Amino acid sequence: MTQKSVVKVESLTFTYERGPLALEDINFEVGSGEILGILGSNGAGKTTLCFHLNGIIPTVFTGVENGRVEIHNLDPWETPIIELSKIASMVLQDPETQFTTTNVESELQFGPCNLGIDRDEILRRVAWAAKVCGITGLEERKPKELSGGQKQRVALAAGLTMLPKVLILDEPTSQLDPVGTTEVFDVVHELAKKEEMTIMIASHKTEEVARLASKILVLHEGKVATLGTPKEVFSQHELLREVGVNPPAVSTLASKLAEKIPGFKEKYEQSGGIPLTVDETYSLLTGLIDQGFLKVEWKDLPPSPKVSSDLVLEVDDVTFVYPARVPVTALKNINLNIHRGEFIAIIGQNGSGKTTLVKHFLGLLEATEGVVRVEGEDVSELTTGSIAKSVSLILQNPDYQLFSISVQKEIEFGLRNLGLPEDEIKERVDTALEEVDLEDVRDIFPFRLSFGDRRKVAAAAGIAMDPDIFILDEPTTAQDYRGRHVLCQIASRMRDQGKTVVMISHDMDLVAQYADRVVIMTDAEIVANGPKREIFEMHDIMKKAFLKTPQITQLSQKMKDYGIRETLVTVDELVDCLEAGGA
Amino acid sequence: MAFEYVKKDTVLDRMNPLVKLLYMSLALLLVVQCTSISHISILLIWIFFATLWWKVGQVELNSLGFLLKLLSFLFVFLFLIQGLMYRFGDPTVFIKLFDLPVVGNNYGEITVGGLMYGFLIMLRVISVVMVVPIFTMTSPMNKISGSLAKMKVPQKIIFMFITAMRFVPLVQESMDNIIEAQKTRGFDIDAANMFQKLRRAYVPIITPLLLLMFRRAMDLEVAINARAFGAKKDRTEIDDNSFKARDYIAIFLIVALFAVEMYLLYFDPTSITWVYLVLFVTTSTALVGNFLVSTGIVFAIQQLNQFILSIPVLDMIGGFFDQNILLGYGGIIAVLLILWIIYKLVRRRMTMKTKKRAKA
Repeated sequence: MTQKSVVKVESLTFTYERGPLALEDINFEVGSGEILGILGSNGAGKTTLCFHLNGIIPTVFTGVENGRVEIHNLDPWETPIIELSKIASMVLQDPETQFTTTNVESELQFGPCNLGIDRDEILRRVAWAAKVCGITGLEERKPKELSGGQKQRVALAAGLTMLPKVLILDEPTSQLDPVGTTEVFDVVHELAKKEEMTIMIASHKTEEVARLASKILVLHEGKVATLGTPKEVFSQHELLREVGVNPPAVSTLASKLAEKIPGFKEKYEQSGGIPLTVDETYSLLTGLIDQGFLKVEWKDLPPSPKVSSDLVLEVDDVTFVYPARVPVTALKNINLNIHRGEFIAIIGQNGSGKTTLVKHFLGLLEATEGVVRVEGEDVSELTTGSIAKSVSLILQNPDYQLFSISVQKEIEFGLRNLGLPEDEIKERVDTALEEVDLEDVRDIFPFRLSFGDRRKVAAAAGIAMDPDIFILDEPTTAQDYRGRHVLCQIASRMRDQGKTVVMISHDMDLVAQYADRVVIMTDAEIVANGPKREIFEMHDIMKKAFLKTPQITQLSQKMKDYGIRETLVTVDELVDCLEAGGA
Repeated sequence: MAFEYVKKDTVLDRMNPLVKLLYMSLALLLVVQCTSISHISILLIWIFFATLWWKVGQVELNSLGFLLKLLSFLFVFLFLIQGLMYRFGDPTVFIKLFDLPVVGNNYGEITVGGLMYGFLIMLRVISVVMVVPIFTMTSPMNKISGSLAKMKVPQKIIFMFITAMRFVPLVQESMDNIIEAQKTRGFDIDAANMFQKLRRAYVPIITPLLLLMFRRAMDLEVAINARAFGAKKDRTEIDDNSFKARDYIAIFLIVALFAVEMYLLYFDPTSITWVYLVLFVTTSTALVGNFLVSTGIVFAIQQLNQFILSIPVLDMIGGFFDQNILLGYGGIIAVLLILWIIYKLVRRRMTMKTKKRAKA
């Protein structure tokens, strides 16, 4: 693209005051109407880079900077943040903390009011932003009456009312369900196209970024790992794996096929680069099969693991109503049996009652009607503290529970509550730390660790309790690709040791890869419950639940006529079924 | 939260918050001046008009109930302490608890004058406290901030005020989440008694709360800076905050009521209100008394009291209670009090036992 560049970053190096080197020699340019995707693992410097563009650095955080940053010919180090905020607007990661006022309407008005803009103009902008972000009608709501996804939309709308030329989004969809994510990304796409806005998105959702971004910047430890169009970037499979970025599943599929089948790489390069979407991949693969270059060799899937008949968790016709001025039914006649050694994923839209249900397993909430039994005992008769011996819940936000002066003490806390002997405590702490690979930091104050590591500490604290049932609430929140897999792998290992695992997640790839059984919830009810392959075939229900099947699953279902007999869920399963053809 | 604004579209909703602020400050001013027992009637008149505000604003009465419940402990304490210590009013002994003669006064006796003084203080607390929900439950935050800005209060102070209001529910929510999180780690806060809670339970809850709030505050700084906070001296105000007819009428009514109260307080304290109050109290007690005597209930109670006092052990304890204005019902009161305390204790035990047990 040849438009005038709006954002220009030249050999930017930055060190936080009394902190580590955060960015090193960053160079890139973005033109108006372009979307730049910023990818990278946690701690790669994405947020620091974003802070540079709207003046948060140096106004709020300071450090030593070398190089040049230019936005609309303004230098953030010389322009007051107030001038910059008219041009560059940023939406932060956590929608909760950036809520500055007490209701949605005044939140949207906050920015332009500060600028002293004409009243009617503000009202017009607010109405427009609310419409674009799909939050019309929520104006009177208070922050706590909004779901996580709605809060994120409000944050986006609040950024839009500034009518910026550059919109900077730092993980704008981390708490949204798949359909909500797609909607937000579509809004962003519209803005770039119609309003000629320059948009920079830091995100872990590579599928969406790949779909819309015109350029992708991959950061690794503060340096540019690679920069280019999505097709250029995602074809560098090896490099991306090294820096902890997960390419869209279909791109991984193409890369793996290229390794397995000589000549495959040349084929997809001829057809215009590595495929990024299901449709592209479908036409590429079927085209090659028709040519005879590829052939499908169906291999039977390993039988699904045997389920023991030992019930560990029974949810018997449970209804739960949140007591409030207007009571909210959060669970409606839920029936669910969980057996020992199962890995269950509970999926569903934001606010469909997943977390509420899980809280019942520990007696944190008491069913209004119905009974929850853990290992045969009625939960409502037990104290939560004692249920914690057999059920362990790893919460989304580790900051709610970390308080000790060292990681080791943190893990000991739960064990001391159980009243275990000293030598056993020591042993369990050691194994738990080993499990999450945090032995090096055992004496460090947990608050100084990164969010991902704090989450691991919380997980280790859960593992050390040696529970029979291990519950993981949304392992993806603010976690990069590697982090979420680490948590799931821990859960998987626990399952192999005969424990039961329950996972709540929006990340369909994770669910597809790790879970055995999937439960879908919509509007406080369970609408589907069964083995994952069967669930992923229920397109209507998935759609109603605002869920999307993983790319590989979609692809394998499309290729049924070509000999893919069952629904496949992982890249490797599909790679196994494709062989080099005769021609 | 019990005192949050809920849109109801009443007159109070639309009223300028400054009028309510005026009302609050006048309430404070009045209360500061009501210091003697004869001012009880004046406070009662004020409270009567305050309830009218509640009616007009359609504020839920149970939020007042919630407030009173919170304060009930204080009230009991007030009655007890003032009853024992205040020696300037009616010296009639209501109940004698123990003997503690110091410089001519026996501080072991609860006197009627003391109880009335306790009642006065209680009314003072109530008249101030019941004004607060009227303000918080009928004024939307943006209206408050708008009218404060109109009064030329600096933007930063307004923002601090709003953030404080916003953080209150946030702290509460975070606290609940933290308690839940610690419970899932085998931390049995339910089972601990009051002293255990104080001694060791609060570190695992307060520490993460503080850390979390610091982090939130930092994020908030980023957020407001990113949205040009403080860019212009005059922020655009969306709502029209000028005074309307209803505001002037309300100001007139409030000031008029306050003036009347002041008049009663300083120029004519006894002749009107106090006499009416005394009259009302004496007639009603006389009526009730006559009714009780004529139906023989008094006689029955006296017999019962005699009987209780004739039980050897109670005689010793109850002897103290024999000398009071309630015609010697002290024994009955003592027994009832003891029974009530035992009932409370037993019930607490029972509910604790049936509710939760530790998992094997």
